[in-house]
Amino acid sequence: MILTFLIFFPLLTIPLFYAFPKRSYELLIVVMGISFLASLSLLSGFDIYSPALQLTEFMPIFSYFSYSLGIDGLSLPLVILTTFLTFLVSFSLKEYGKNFHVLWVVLHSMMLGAFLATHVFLYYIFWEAMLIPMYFIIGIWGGEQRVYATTKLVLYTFLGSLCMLFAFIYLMQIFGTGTYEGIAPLSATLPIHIQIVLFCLVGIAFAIKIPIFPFHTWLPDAHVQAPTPGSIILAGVLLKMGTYSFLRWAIPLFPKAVVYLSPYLMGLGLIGIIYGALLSWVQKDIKKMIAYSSVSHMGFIVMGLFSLNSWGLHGALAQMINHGLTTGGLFFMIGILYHHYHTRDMDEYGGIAQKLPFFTFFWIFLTFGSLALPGTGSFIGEWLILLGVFQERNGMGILAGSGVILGAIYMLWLAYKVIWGEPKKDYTKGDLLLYEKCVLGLICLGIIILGFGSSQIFLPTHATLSQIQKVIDQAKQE
Amino acid sequence: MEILLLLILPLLGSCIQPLFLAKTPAKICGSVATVILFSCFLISLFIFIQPETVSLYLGNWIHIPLSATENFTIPLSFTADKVSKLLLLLITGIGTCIHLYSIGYMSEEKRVYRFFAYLNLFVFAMLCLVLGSNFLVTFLGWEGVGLCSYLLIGYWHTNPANAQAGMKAFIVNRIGDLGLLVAMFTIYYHFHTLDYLELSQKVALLSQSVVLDHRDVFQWIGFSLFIAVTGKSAQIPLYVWLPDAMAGPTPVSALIHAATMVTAGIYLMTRCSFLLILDPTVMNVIATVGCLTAFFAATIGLTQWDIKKVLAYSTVSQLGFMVIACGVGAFDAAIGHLITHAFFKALLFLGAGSVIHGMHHEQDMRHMGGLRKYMPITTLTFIIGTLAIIGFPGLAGFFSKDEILYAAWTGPFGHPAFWVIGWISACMTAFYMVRLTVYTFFGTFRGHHAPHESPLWMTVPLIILSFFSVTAGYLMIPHAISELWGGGHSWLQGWLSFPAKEGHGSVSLEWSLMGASVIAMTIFGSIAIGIYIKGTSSLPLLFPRLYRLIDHKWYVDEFYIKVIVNPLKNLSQTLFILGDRFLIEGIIQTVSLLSQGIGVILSESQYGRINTYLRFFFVSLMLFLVWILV
Repeated sequence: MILTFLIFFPLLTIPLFYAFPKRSYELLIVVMGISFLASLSLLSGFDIYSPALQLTEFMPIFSYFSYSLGIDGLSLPLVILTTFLTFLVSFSLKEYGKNFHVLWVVLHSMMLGAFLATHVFLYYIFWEAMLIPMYFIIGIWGGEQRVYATTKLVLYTFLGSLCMLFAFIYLMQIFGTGTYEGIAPLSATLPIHIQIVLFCLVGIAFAIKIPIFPFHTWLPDAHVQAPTPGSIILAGVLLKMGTYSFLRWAIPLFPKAVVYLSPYLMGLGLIGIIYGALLSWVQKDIKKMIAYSSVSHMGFIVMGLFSLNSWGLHGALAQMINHGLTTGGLFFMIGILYHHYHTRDMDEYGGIAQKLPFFTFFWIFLTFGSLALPGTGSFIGEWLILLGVFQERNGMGILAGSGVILGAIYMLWLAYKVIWGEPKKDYTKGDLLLYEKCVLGLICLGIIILGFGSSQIFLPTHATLSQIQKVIDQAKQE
Repeated sequence: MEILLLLILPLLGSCIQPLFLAKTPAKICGSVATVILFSCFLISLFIFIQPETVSLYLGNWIHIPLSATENFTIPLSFTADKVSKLLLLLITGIGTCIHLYSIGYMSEEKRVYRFFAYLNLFVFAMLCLVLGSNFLVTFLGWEGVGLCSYLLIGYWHTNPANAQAGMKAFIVNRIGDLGLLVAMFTIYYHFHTLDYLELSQKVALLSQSVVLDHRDVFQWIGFSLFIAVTGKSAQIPLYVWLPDAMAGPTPVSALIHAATMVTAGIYLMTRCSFLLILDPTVMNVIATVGCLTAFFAATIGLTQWDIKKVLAYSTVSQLGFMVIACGVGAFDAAIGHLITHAFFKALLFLGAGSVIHGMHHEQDMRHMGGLRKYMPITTLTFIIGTLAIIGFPGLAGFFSKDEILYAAWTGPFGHPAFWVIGWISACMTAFYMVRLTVYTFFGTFRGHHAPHESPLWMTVPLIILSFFSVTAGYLMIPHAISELWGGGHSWLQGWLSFPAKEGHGSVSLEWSLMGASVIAMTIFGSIAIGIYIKGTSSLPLLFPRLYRLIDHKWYVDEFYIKVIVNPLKNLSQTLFILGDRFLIEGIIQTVSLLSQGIGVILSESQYGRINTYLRFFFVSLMLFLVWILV
């Protein structure tokens, strides 16, 4: 029941937000805190040596459709990342009011639902439902062009989801079931041309979400217009939904298609790495720049996934968590800047180091976290991904490695424009508040722990990823 | 255990500074950092005297299952073998001197805790670099020192030029780092290990024919490793960051950009010597690049007026010498020069720092002159440093540089041509170093504010370093000299005990090469004294075009900006406007407009106007009839 509790407990508290509107901020922190603790408590009942779905809940509803949840090594780290980030960001939501808080709770629950659902249709429902709170968060609290951005986000994602729905309905039709355990073994034996069609249908939905080049243009708009908490969740969790879904659904369900298409998908990832990094370099808007850098980083993850070997898969999963923390932290800091100085144009900043030492420390920390300095979590992820890609295709590995250089270029360029130099403003608005220091401190601590302790932290993921690896290897032999 | 302590102390030191010492005066911050470094030095000494290899295993850094039985594991482990032990002493010893010096040099700065925190962090990263027992731990240190270098070059961050120099250093180094990454991947691809010891065992088992059949593999590995070296150790084509790195405080230039970090590339090559020597092409390329770097950097050193820039180009040139040594297979000579160079170049930089400090942050030699009257200790120690670097007989540089030049001719991969270029570069070294010394310390004072001698904090390290600049060479007395009293290999060769590869030299050749060096050094030194003792020079007028070319550093920076940076930026801008805005967004907009258009047309048909419905009805009826009839 713990999984159901995780998803629906926050939803049940929604009436309280309207009953005590003055206390909604405190209420939100309590609810998110409970949710975070509950997600940590998953660890106690979790068997790290089992590749199967655990803590499963199953309830038939009608015909193929059933309410089924489960967690395994794949979803566990992402669930904890989600509750961790939503909990941390809650502290900065004081001024947003109860309606935002309620949307926040809904968003949180829908994201968890999508990570925990093990029935294709249930998963589809959560996947779509996630968009609704996001639509309002950007549409109401966003920047000047918020309506354009949020409409684009929703329509774009919706278009992809529709394709996914076709594929899922087809699968349920022919197999008479929709649960992961039910369809995965059957679907893997489908002939390759059918697999390719189905893979492309679901792949488009995931590719838009990640986003893979050339489906990325919604992201800069959405990021720029979204309010800070929206950006953090967008970059921190929603993008990972795409890569997670590839690992959860697309690869185990259509392994033959994946093996066949992997060079092309790696190629798209490679283009994403270089293209995203180059575009990031020429942006003036700080948020837009981080948005394009996400395209580049997600390109790494995509390459890792479709290198289809252990290094790549483990690296990709680690990188999902690392990118969530690092980019989440960066958006959090941009939010602080924007809150005080009302501009995202990097030309208007400069010389922050002179006045705001704490801000500078965390910014530089996250900068190097983002450009994957050894010792930070991103390094482990990127290094494993590059190693994995190199083992499959040397040339692609080297080209992808150029992302390492380009990453340094745009991140240090940003630091140069914003942090160093002669102060361009008086920066009288104080340095970080206590809670901001705590939030960023936790994120940075997480980055260091992931940088050195990844062999322990990702232990629960090993069994599941090995299982996926086995499916892929089987498909490779055929 | 002692290694753990050695690593933790500087790391702790860098955390203490901002946490507890942020508000304390500069001298206390500096003292704490110095005490920590000195303890590290004592621990290194303790490690050094232990006869066996010391190692430390801190658990698995990366651990993933590859299959049911096989795991991919990278341990976080450290090993102090003979090379590492030597470098530990060097890093912590010179580090202590420079920390001590910094107390005096930085005493007037605000928020100086940052400086000492970075400096301690740097020592931590450097220790990781030389202690790592596999490539990945070395890489941790390798990029860690890059981070510290970035932070320290841009230490005076309000000046955008400094921040830019730090950025340039990190990015250029990242290009080299990609080389190291590719080398790691290739090595793993072929040998399934990244551990130095295991790798060397696996390589040792390879038969000659296997090596010859897989030359491309060893060339890949060798060249990508060497790209990493050109980044960190500032060789052509990636040396451009080092002169700019002089924007940092002078103790930083001494510690990071002369004595320790920039020699990381040399260390890496000695670590991987067993891989490099497998392919002669790789070795020849290394030696050639070393020669070119030694030569070109020396030419630029001839014309610089900024006292630190001269030393920076000199460092690039001396690193070139070490690379030559590696390239001709004389890895012990490279380590020897690494050690002596660390002493005398640190001494020279600290001396320059003392001058800059005494001259109230003036770095242009044209505003100096006659400083020996004002700064006697600095002058004396600086002269010792100069004599050491130009290879004055009996001083440290004499032994180590001659060892390299001799090996360049006679080493396993040597060639007389390498010697010739090395010899010319050594001549230029003598010229520009004597020029620097004479122009700064002799003649008449050309500045405005009267300079003063530096405090004891700064002069004591100068004296210590000048002692070693004189004596360090006796660790590596060449065979030809030691033969006079019947000695064999030098102490250093015995200590490092690299697998001896017999060169093809003779004692008489060694004596003649040594003689050639000494004569050249004397002649070029004297010319420089003759020209610059009066404080003016007509040299530029003799060769105006060549002078302008060299004075602009062969226009290499301009070339890179024009050929690489600007096109890349233009490409990005074009991609953004044409690719993202125009093409991709255009397609999306078209699709949305199209669907909107279809919607408009279709909604037109649903307005409830009877005549529209009738028109549709008739048209479709007609079509239906036609279809049936046909």
